[in-house]
Amino acid sequence: MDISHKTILLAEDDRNDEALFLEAIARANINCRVDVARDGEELVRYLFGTAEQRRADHGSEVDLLLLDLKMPRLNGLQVLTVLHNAHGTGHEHAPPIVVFSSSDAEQDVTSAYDLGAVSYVPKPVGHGQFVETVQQLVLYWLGVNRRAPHRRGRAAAAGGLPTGGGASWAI
Amino acid sequence: MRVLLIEDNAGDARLVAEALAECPVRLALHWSRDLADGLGRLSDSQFDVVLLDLSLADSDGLATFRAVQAVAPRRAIVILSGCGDEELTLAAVQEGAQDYVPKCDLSGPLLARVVQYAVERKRSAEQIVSLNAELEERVRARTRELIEANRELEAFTYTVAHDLRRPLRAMDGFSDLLQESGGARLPERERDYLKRIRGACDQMSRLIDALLTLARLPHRSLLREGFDLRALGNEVLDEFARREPHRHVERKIAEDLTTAGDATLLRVALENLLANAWKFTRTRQFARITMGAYFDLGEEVFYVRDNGVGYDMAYADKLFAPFERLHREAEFEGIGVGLATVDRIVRRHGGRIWAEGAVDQGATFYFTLAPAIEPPAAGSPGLVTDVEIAPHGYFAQDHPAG
Repeated sequence: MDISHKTILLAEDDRNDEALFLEAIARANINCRVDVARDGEELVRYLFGTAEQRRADHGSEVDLLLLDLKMPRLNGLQVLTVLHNAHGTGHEHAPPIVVFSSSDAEQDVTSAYDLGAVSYVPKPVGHGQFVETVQQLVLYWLGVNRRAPHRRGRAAAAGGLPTGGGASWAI
Repeated sequence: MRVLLIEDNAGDARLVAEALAECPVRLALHWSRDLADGLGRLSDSQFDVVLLDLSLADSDGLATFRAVQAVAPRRAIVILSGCGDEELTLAAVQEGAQDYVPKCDLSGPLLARVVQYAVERKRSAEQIVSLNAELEERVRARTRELIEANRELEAFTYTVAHDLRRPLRAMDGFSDLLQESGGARLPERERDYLKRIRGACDQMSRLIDALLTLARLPHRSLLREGFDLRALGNEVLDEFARREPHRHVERKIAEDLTTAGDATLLRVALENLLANAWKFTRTRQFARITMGAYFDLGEEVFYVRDNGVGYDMAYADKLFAPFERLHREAEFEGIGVGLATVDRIVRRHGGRIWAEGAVDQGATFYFTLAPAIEPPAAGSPGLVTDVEIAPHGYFAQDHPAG
């Protein structure tokens, strides 16, 4: 499965989590591009910037946003709120947003979906599970999933990632 | 004592003044001829009691009483009733007048007594009102404190969930990566160190999960529905057996072990109880786990029993406290949160839990869940669902040899 032309924007302020994420996709020979936004403000600048700015900052359009909830300045839910409020105004550029967070609190899951996340995946603590989850996540959204053509909004990308153990798409 | 008389008839007013003159307590009597004047005096100065004729030139009936009460809600009011309008007088008493005196029966001692009693009664009533208000204020203040404490606790829980998992993921992740990239070159001893680090990470991770389950319990709403404890018991034990196929554990689960409760929470509770029973029978050649129920004083008591290593009743009070453990980690692994979680779940259902056991004699955990909304179906035996059971002295059958 060739996803080398795709880009993930990883919204993550923790360098360890970032390193583990990159390690996990490298291990599975996943060769997509990964950009990192280290706080919510940076993310909002990206999401509301012009296409030129995005290309200048990130080199290409983003195909998947992986959003951590706990970030400095604007946290994940606040970013989702900003995006949610702007929905339909045409000012926002929103790839599918998958929340990838240490929190498995019910209120976080509910809020994330209410605010337009297409999937919520708790970040496992154990390394084996973490690696497996990252690989499944990336291969599903960048490889298997198809977004509706000409509609780059989040709604168009909805489809949901089957989470948990025996997912059937092969790595 | 200051008395205000509102009375339009000068003759009646004189009668009242004469009657009050016989009163042993010193009185200052003020007289208003109509309601407007009376209300004016009431708002200007303090009176202890108002003697009120309901039929005045400028007001009549209950309206008179209500007007006075509105201006002087904290003063005693005694109605001077015309003879024959008891009904009206009683209505005023029902609305809060302290007493009444019929004009046709106006004697000195009677009036004096009524006035003094009315003042006392009003004072007591006022005291109750103010104590009530004080109590309500205290309850409100305490509630505010509790809400605040709860909010802090939730914030703390959230921090535990998120912030403690992060460094743990890094520790486990990088020690795994180290093991993988350098493991082959590392001496046996260093490989063992890495293994221990990862083992500790795993334990910490389970501890955080258990802590969160425990902390979130009170915030979860309870959903009661029909629940089959027998089916779940079998399911849980099947899973344990699958994980440890080398173990042979005899199980005795009573027929028809149903109740009403929150399915998710009861599953957590039963999993914890059975996990303990499974764990503490590990050293037994003939391990046995029993589940059943009996009725005691009309209350259904469920139990989970094992013939494992048991525990010392001297430490019974520590069983259900979080993070307390009665066994060494080397003997039986655990983090000491399981029974605390069960305890909370049972209490959330309005029930209680207790245990009986002895060292090397197994343990039995009993629990009740608050009665379901529906009573047991008529015709059901309503007694014992497992014949083996008597509430006390039950180990005799498990250990016939003593």
